[in-house]
Amino acid sequence: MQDCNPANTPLPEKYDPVASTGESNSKLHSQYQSIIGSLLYLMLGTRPDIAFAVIKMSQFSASPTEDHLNHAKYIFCYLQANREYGIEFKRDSSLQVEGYVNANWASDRNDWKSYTGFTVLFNTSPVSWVSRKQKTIATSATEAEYMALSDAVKQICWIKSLLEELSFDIPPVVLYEDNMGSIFLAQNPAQERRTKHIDIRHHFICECIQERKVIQL
Amino acid sequence: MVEMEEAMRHSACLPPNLWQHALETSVHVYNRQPFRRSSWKTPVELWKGKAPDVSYFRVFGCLAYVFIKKDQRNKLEPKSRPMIFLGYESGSKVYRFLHEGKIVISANAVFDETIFPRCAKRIEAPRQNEVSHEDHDKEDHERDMEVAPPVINSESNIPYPSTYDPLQPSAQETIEPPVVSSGSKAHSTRIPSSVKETIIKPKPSMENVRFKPYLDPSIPRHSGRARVVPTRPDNVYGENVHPVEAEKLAEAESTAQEDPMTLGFGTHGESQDLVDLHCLHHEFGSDFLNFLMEKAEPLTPRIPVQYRDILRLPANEKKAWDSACQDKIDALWKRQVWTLTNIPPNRKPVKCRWVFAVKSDGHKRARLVAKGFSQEYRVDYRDVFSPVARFESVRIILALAAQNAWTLQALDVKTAFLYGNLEEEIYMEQPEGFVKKGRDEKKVYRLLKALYGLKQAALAWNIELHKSLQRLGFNRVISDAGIYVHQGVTGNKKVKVLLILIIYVDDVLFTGSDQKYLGMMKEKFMKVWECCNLGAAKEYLGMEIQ
Repeated sequence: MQDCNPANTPLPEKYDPVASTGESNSKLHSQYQSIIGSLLYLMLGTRPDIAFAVIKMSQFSASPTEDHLNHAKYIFCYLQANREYGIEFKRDSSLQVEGYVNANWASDRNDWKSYTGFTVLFNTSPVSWVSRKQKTIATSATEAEYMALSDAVKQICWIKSLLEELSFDIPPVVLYEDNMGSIFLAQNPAQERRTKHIDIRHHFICECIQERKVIQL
Repeated sequence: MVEMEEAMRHSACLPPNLWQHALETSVHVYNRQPFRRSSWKTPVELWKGKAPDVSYFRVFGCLAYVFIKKDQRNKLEPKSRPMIFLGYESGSKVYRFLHEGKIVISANAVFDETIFPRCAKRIEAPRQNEVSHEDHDKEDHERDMEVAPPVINSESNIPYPSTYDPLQPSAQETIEPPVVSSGSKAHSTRIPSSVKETIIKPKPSMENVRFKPYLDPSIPRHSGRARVVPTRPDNVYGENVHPVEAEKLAEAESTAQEDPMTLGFGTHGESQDLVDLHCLHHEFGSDFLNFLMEKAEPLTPRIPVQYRDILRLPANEKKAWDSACQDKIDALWKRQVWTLTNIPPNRKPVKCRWVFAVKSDGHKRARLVAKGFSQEYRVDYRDVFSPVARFESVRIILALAAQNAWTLQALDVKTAFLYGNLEEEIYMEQPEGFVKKGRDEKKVYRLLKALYGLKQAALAWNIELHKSLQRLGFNRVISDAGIYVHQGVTGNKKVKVLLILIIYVDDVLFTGSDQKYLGMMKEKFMKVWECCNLGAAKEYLGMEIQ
């Protein structure tokens, strides 16, 4: 894979993997798992940009197909194009934490679950990132975004407490969210026909906002 | 094809409505046998370009004890049920069984190929040289058919009661354990699903080829279905069997006297291999054998996998490895890792083994590791979880360090696990090749420190490290158990200093607001633990720092 053709994106455009139905051979299986394993470590370490692609492909490590393997290798092609990417931590910037949240509603063709994605920036450098499939099925884009928001808020609470223990106090975290419905829902804990079924644990966001731990935009 | 099917089905006394399974099996077998017209290649080989592995073949219609999954049985029910073997599932190494009129599919089963439950009588294990008189050149007989006994056996036609239970033989005829040397009919089958099997290529298909009738009864014929042992390069335990099963196997062997099913274990090995070679030599001549030897891949060229491999090496290499082992033993004594004691009754010692490595400078190194999987929960260990720093915390601290222009100092604690004190009493058997002679032979090592491989090694080390860090004035952060902070004052002006420590098992990263103070704390730390000082951190957990 060392001299593969560089690619511009972690996965090809409009690629939508489908879970395999048959069983796969063991050679392919172990090769796939070792590829995913090394990509996962890279993703956890310094590469938030491949997070979605790796997580997406890692879902098929139980029974990969030739197609999955080729697309996992495609991620290497993307990495080839930008080997030198890393995270830069800047000096002398003011202490601030901010987060960006997004969700991809019902994007998984196999089970119609949504994806959560968020990044937490510390002094404008990413320190924490997540891309994961949501556990429950969201019935609306707002609901999916709301669940993603609650995940992000939890992570921010943890980061805040860690920094406090290291004797750093941070101002309220600004969380950027692009769904008006979920922003409204987080600020106005109202029960409505289309949102009343949302699990209580997600209403944790409201509390954090009221305590001024998090500000939402 | 139909003849083969009929013969197989009748020999197993199965009713006509099972013709489909018999036919499928015969096709399966037919595709895996060599033909003269295709220059002794099997159809599967021609199709896939690879000789098929026939080690999983079993006699059609024979008795099988099929493992029942946990969720499908009561706690008190037996773990396996006797069923009838009905063939192979295509595309996978899963078997098909008949049980109370239903088809059951399972990969875990133990076979007894001498018993055909539907035949209502036990058939004696056929002798190989009897069958080999037949003319194989005209029609390539499938091996299962050869092994399959005749339907009517005039000698022993004492019928079993209709409710025939092979586990409880009737009083008239006791089931004798199958004699292993006569071709080991009782096979155990385990298919490690995740383990890639390395198959010695020409062997399986060649087993089926019989150019000449094999007539020498003095050399026992190898059954040709010896279990293929998964030999992975990363199988550090280097057992002949899957490491997790080693324990089970040992137990099974000890009960083998009572249970004839388990006698198939342990028949493979060197002696069997030699017999194999003999057979091949006898059948195909030395030219063919030499050809095979050339084709065969060399086994682990330099580094021995197990201790007994050393004994086969040339004298000078053997000596070097031996001294490496002796060095390790001496070092362990010096570090007071263990004491030699008698084992208390009703305790089982943990096993151990040697792991060998050649360092990049050519230096030979031996390590002794405990086999953690042979530890027993609640006896040899309880908690095993050892905390490490989260990646997010590492990045946050790196960001803080960058923001405030702190220095980063990395340390690596040498042989960290050997510092961990054990709370539990753990006994370990004496390492291979270094068993004391005389009256100490039966003694075992009582471990005082955690040895590599023990389940709680990482935790024991972490506890020790935690204690010492507390003594040095570091506090563990609640949010992340792998992060320690120290707040102190330094200099005449009583400037406040903050030190942060990241712990990832034995990799330690120091950072803090005062370089002098940090250096001082680092010195203190290095006095407690023998460390490898890596200086200003260039890399941490595989992440480069620039």
